[in-house]
Amino acid sequence: MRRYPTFLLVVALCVTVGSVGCSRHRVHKTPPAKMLMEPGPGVGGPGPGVVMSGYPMPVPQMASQLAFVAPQGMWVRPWMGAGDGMVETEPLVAPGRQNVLQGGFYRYKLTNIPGRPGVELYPSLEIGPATPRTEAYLSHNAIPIQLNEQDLDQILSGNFITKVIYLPDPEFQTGLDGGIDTLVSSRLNAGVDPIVEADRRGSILCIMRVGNIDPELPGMPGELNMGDMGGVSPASFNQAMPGAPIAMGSPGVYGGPGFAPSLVAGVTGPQYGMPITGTPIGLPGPPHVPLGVPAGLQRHAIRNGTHVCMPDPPKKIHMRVKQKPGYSYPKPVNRVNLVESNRASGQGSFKQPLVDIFNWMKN
Amino acid sequence: MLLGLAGTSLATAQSTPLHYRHSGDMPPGAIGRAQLQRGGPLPGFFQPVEIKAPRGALVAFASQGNFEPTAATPRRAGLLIGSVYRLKVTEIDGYPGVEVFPTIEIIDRIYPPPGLEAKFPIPIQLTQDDLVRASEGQMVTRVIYLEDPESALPAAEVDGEQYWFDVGPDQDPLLVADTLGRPVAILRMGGLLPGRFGPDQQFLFGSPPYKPLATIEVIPSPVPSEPLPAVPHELPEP
Repeated sequence: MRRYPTFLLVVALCVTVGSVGCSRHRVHKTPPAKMLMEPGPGVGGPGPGVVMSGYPMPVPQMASQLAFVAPQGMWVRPWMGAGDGMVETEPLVAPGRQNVLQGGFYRYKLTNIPGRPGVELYPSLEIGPATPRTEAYLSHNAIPIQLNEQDLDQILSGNFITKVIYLPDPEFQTGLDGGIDTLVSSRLNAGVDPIVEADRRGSILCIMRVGNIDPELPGMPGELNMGDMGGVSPASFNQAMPGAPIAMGSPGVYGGPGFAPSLVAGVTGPQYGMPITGTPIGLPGPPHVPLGVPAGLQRHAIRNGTHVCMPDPPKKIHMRVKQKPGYSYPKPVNRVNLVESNRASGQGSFKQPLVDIFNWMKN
Repeated sequence: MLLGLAGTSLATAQSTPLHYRHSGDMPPGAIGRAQLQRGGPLPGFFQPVEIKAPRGALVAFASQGNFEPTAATPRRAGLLIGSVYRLKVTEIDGYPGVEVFPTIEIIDRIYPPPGLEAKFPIPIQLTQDDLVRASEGQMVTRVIYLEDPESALPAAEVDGEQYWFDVGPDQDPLLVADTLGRPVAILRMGGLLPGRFGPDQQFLFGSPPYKPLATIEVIPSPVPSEPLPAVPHELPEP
């Protein structure tokens, strides 16, 4: 009699699992980041397998102008990276200007800061791309870059600050600072992202991030190429931008200036399909290829014990989208009334003054 | 019945707001190019303009990728509609060494009597205040419009100085100008300077062609030989 409840319990459990499936009682986990970079599940290879027919044409990039305003007398150098053996370039003394490519990343070295002897800062500048909203401003004005005393105190006390220089929308215009505004992370409430807030208020022109790190210390990651550190690349006054002989820094756009994809199989990376994993005997290449000696390995089995729960793709997808606020356009015009009024010449009391009749012109 | 109709018409008028396609902060040249697509006698027409600068200031046009020698104002030139012209202003009174590089965008033309187009240019005035503000990094946008004859300001210009209105930072100067007349040109200026190797084509907006026009000297009105009789302040006693 006691086997009946146990049997029913097992049956109920099986029915429950069968109806609900494995996706209900298991926490979903995404693959590691390296696997996510692959073109798809089950597809190997180092990168995009499709090689474009011909190389992408360089996209002409426009330049923005940076105006290092304050503190006055500060020396500004594009930071070349520690230990690269390059001679430091002639500094730009604030207030000074430099042209940079829009959409680029730059890192500078600030020295000789007035009132702060011995202090060296390494801010990074992320230049925003030109938008129809900002193009008029950028073609007539420079982006002011400045650090005031409060910013310097925050940095030297160990805080990391983010300054976002943006062009506010008309409803956020204050009429000060030449029409632009700046948000500083240290002056916002906790949890408020200055970049998100500036993007909400207007169009971002430049993002400056600065802390008190000294990447020139021995053993710092700064000794490596800045291109390995999240896309921030060294800048140089001596590299001219395309189309204009303006001394400026080279942007840290992924893959280089003007080229969108940075990894092309067989060109800038390994050939598609070439395994990059090592063999069990410690040599690269397929394990079945003899490397100069008779093949000795007869059998090589790898058993994958990873639990895989890959459900079938859905056959139908119903998606409901909604945008807030919605669209509210005026009712289209279906009737137009045109009234053209012409002034009666010389009628009434509004006549041409007598003195203006004798207003002669030469030539 | 009449009151009801009046109320209905008022409500209809209030419920039909205007939707402007352009704004004053659009990229330079965008409004003029859109204007050309609407047709009309605009493409290829060199609209005469007269540029006036403060006393002592010198102005230069850009041609073939570089600035021409500066010259005193007023200067007259024919500018293409839809193109953006970069100017160079130097020798600003009280600000030695300061250079300002404003731009002019012609977005519409005016229609003077045939043959007299050059004698009635669009006046574009560079004021001392605007130049100083621009050199300090402020963005100045000045929209020049043709007054609506029904609502024109009934006052003569003093010493040729152009009347202007200062709109607030939350207002669009192009929209305000459109309510007062017909905008024909946009003057923008800021603190942007060319690179250390001189201006490039991006800075000069391709240096579009222009037609220099001879400056027309206006002869002052002849003074009447006999003074006009004074207007009596009080009526004569009978």
